Parts: sequence; structure tokens; C-alpha cells
Amino acid sequence: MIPQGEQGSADEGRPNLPDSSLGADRPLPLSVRSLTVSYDRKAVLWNVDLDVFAGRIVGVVGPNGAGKTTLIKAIMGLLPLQSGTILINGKPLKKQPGAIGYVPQRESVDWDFPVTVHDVVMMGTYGTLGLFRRPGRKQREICRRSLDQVHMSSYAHRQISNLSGGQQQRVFLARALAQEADLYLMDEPFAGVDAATEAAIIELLRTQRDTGRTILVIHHDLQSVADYFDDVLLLNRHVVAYGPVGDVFTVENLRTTYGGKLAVLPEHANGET
Amino acid sequence: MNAGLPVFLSISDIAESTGFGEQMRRFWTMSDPAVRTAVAGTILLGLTCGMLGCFVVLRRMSLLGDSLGHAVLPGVCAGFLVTQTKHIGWIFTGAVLSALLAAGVISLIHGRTRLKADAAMGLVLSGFYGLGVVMLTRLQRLPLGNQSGLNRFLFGQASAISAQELAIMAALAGLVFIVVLLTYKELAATCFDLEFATASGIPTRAIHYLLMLLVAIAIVISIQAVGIVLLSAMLIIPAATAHLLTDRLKVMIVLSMVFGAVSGVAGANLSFLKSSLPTGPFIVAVLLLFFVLAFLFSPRYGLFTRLYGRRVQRRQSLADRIIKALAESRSGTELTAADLAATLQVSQTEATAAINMLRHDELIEVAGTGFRLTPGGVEYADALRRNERLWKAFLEREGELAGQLFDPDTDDIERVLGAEMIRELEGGT
Ligand SMILES: Nc1ncnc2c1ncn2[C@@H]1O[C@H](COP(=O)(O)OP(=O)(O)OP(=O)(O)O)[C@@H](O)[C@H]1O
Ligand SMILES: [Mg+2]
Repeated sequence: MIPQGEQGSADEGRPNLPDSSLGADRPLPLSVRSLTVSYDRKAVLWNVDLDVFAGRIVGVVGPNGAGKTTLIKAIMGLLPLQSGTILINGKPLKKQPGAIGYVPQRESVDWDFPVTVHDVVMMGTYGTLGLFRRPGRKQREICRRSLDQVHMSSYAHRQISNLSGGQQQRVFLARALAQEADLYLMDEPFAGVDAATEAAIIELLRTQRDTGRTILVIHHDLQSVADYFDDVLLLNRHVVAYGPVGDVFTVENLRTTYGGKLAVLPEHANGET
Repeated sequence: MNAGLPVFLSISDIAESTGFGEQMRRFWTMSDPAVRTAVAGTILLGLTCGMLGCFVVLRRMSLLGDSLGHAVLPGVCAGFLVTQTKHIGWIFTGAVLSALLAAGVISLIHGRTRLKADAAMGLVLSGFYGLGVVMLTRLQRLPLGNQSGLNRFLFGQASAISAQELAIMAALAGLVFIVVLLTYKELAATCFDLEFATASGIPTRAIHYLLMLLVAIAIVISIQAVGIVLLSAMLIIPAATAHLLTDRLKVMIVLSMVFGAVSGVAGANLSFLKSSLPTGPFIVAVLLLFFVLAFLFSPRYGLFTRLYGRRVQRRQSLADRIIKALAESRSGTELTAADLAATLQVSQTEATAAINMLRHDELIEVAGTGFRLTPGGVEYADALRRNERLWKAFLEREGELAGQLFDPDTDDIERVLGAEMIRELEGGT
């Protein structure tokens, strides 16, 4: 098969949907056009185009410093854009605060903060709750359900520093679930998580996808890419390739992404070795 | 630092002439309206600073509190210059404006240059404070300068709070309290995870500036009694102390407010005992006392508590191992303390301490030159063996029992697993 290189026109880069019945007239959950982001004067992401379709789990793969974290932070409006537009469900994020659910990297917070697991998950509901309003029964119910989904209910009243790394990761997932968003962005949710928890998380993501949610996951383990994701985005400062895993996750594309430094190639990558 | 300690007014002068007991009585009966004002004022500022301090400390903005605290000096002097008298309305306004200006300059330097936040804050702190001291020295040369009592803004004088000032303080403190109640959830979310809060649609930038404004107000409330030099202590120490004592944000806020208020009053009392003593240093001394106590003896995070707890735990687990060793050699000869120390690879003193504990609990007894288990000890040894077997069986089957959560370090296995599960496990082994 011909690996898809850098995207020329928008249509070329779109993955072929398995069933095109999925609302063609509905706006895309995420649509990025010629996005450039730079820190200081150095462009970290350059001319990124990306259309993500509803009900897909998309893996974002690339070497360290490729700009993966930068991409999802830009999508969430946490970074100033040098150029480009980002539409969520066809509209800018500013018009619909809280439309994106977020699972940050675990190191991004102070785990000694005096809050319980329950409090943290509750914070997921704050965005949609609005200013000055206090969380009520509905929010507590959402919180309970989210904790259940990640099997952390029995830890609800623990202070968050008394948790293992995998448990902390699940707290972040529960907080994101409590956001009840349609589009989720996750920054390395599998980092430092054991195999059983990893399987449980991917299972959870799949059930979320099957209810029509869309999930972008930054991922480092190339071995599991083919297994976990519907689509894959190979990123190294720009889009190297993007599309359904079967089409795009090829040895040649991986070589381009990692600049030939890739010592061990994943077993499941397509193409001759 | 500058020119002498503050000039003192009414109460302090009386203080010199009378004795210690008399002064104590005067303070605590609160018959003197000036004392009542001072106490009410320090309580108000303690509560306000204690509450806001929690957010400041948790947002890692402690240095910001310090910078803004020092940065109010030029505003205080300017407020005085405008009216040429000690008109508190103007002085408060000047202080708020100069704190906000400082906050703005810090954001500007931090955002627009390559300098990091700490450098920006250091610059602003020393710059503004230096300017303030220059203005202050100028003011003191003016004819009205000396009677202005501006000096006491440096180290604070609770007794100088007037009834009118107290009214303003109460209004401002009430305002801060209401705003915090209304925006509690946004403040907490912003402090915990700024990026997540922003991404989930909370107006974190507005919340940040709101917090700055509230801190500026708290500082203004405190200038009179605490003084500019030690202002940041009032924001940081109560919150830091409370943080060592609890794992709940709401509890931390309440504790911090209590520490702030109590040390405010205690500081006012101490400085009242002798004239020419400023209030600020005493308040800070009391705060520090609280902090040191919490640092050493906090139930969970105290230095002593932890060391002591670890020693108790060590001795307990050594005692358990001694019981096991004795149980295994039950048929043979008794073991001496030296034997036990050697087999368990611990020092003889450690072994002796554990043995004494066990003898006190009547689990072991002296037999010949060594020790053996009492009937109670035999029972205890059986219980230990059973527990060990259960945990092992449980861990082996954890895959299929994954829904069951436990914490082997702190939980009692019988309670965690329940009688039914234990029967099941015992049946299986
Ligand atoms: N705040 C910042 N200021 C300046 N440069 C930054 C900043 N954050 C990231 N960068 C740079 O941007 C580039 C991309 O960073 P990013 O964190 O997006 O990479 P990543 O793909 O997430 O990497 P990793 O796999 O290591 O998490 C890196 O070269 C990094 O040095
Ligand atoms: Mg990253």
C-alpha cells in the first residue's frame, strides 16, 4: 500500500470511515487547519491539518519533543496560536467552554494538595456547572458513576497522595469522565500503569467510544498501537501520516516519524521489514 | 532598615507606668475601648489572612504575598502625601493601588521577558520597598512627618487602630469572606490544576486577578497591626501550619483562620504589656510557635510523630518475628535473647526491647536461661500464622478477586475480606 505522506488537501488526509452512515452532515468533533504553534521564536508544531471523526480512538505517536503535548494543549486553548484555526463540533472552543475532556500527564499536579479522590473527580463537573453554583445531587451522582467506571469507589475518601501511580491515573480518568464531554484528549494515560490497569483503561475507552465519544490518546508503546487504536496520527513537528491504523501504521511511515532511529520495529506494523 | 521603632500612642504610654499583672487584667477584661478595637482588628485580619493564605500557599504564590506586602509602602506614603494627615481612607487606597500595580508589573516582567517569576517578584519587592523607604525618610523630615505615626506601618501597632478604621476593616473583611464563599470552587480548582481548570471552562485568568485583588485587600487590612515588613508571614505561616495538620482543604482553611486570629490577639496582648513594643513581631512569634509545634507533632506529618511511629512499628514487627521464632523452636530448647538477636539479625538492645514488651504483654516467659511462649503466646503465634496464610492465599488469587480493595499495611484482614471470603480462602488452601 502507498503510505500517506504529508497531507496535501484536506480530503486526502481523511481516514476512510468503515461505515459512512455516521452523520456526514454533523460537524466533525475536531477539525484543525494549518495550525502553527511556537514557543519563543521556534516553531514546535508546523502547519498541522487534522480531521478527527466521531466515535474513533485516535493514537498520537511520535518521538520525544515531537510536539504531541503541545498539540493537545493548543487544541484546548491553553497555548497561543501563531496561526491556524481549531474547530470543535464546528465551532470555536471559546463558544462552548468545557466541550473537551482532558487527562493531563500525571506529573502536572501537586499530589500533596489537601483534597480527596472524590473532590478531584468533582472538579470535572465544575466547568459545566458554571460560576457561583455549588455542586449538588446531580454532580455527586456523576462523580459516583465516574469513580465506579474506573473501579476507584472504595478510594473515594482518600487523600490523593496516598495512591499508587496507576490509581492516580485512574483518578484523572474519572475526573475526565465526570466532564461528560464528547471529545477527550489524553496525555500518556498509560504511563507507569501496570498491564492489568492498562487493559482495564483501554476497555473503558472502548465503551466510551461505542457511545459515540471521540478520544485522542498520546501513546508511546508502538507494540500496542495496532491493537488499541482505530486511527493513528504520526507526528513529528508536523503530520507525518494520519489515517486508519491498517493504512498508516507502516514501517516506512514509522521510519519517517522517528528519523530512522527506531531500533525495534513493532511486530504489527504493516510493510516489509 | 530605618529610623527607629514606631512612635507609640495612648495605650503604650500608660503601659510603661503600670505593672505586668495590671496590664494583663486591663487587656483581658477589655474595659478599655482601645483594647477592644485592637482585639477585634487583629481577629479580623487574622481570619482574612488565614483564609486567603491557604489559596496563596497552595497556588505556590507565597513569594507573591511577600512582594505585594512590601510593595504597599510607596502607596501608604503617597496616600499620606495627598492629605498631609493620617487619613486612613487615602492611605488604604494608596496601599491597594500600589499592591495592584506591583502585581501588574510582576505579570508584565514574567510574561514579556525571559525572566522567571521569582526574579520578577524579587525585583518588584526590593524596588517598591526601596522607593517606599526613600519616601518615608523624606516624609519624616516634613513638619507633620513625625506626628504622623507613619513609622508604625513598618512593624505594626494594633493599639493604634481607631474605631473608624475598624469599621473599614470589618467591611473589607466581610467583602473578602463573601467573595471567597461565592468563588470557592473556582479558587480550589484553579489552585489544584490550573491547566485542567482552564481547559474545562473556568475563567482562571479572572480568578487569578481576583485572588490578587483579595490578597491586596487582606494586606491593607493588616498593615496597621502587623506592619509591612512581616505582612507575608500572616499570609503564609497560618496556612502552612494548617497544611501540615490536615488533608482536607476546608479543614485547612478553618484551621488557618483560627491560627491567624489566635496569634493576632496573642500578639496584640504581648505588645500591650510593655510600651514601645510593636505588634507585628509578636504576632509572627506566636505564629512560628504554632508552626514549630505542628512541624514536630502533627499527627500524620510531624517529625517526631513519624519517627516515633516508625519505631513503634519496627518494634511491633520485631516482636511478631520473635513469637514466630519461639513457636518454631517450641519442641527444642529455649532461646536466649542473644540467640534471638542472632537469628533475627538485629542488635541485642533492639531484641531486648521487643522481648520486654512481649513479657509485659505476657506472651512470653522466662524459662531457664532463655524464653518460651506462654499459652497466650501460643495462641498469638497461631493467629499470626493464620493471617500470613490468608494474605498469601488472597494475593495468589488477587486476579479473580480484583474487585476487592485492600491495604495490607493498615487494614485488618478479617475486616477487609469479610468472614465469607476468609472461609472461602481457607477452604481453598
Ligand atoms: N513551555 C515551553 N517553552 C519552550 N519550549 C517548550 C515548552 N514546552 C515544550 N517546549 C518544546 O517544544 C517541543 C515539543 O514539546 P512537547 O512537550 O509538545 O513534546 P512531546 O511530543 O509531548 O514530548 P514527550 O514525548 O517527551 O512528552 C520540545 O522541543 C520542547 O522542548
Ligand atoms: Mg508530552
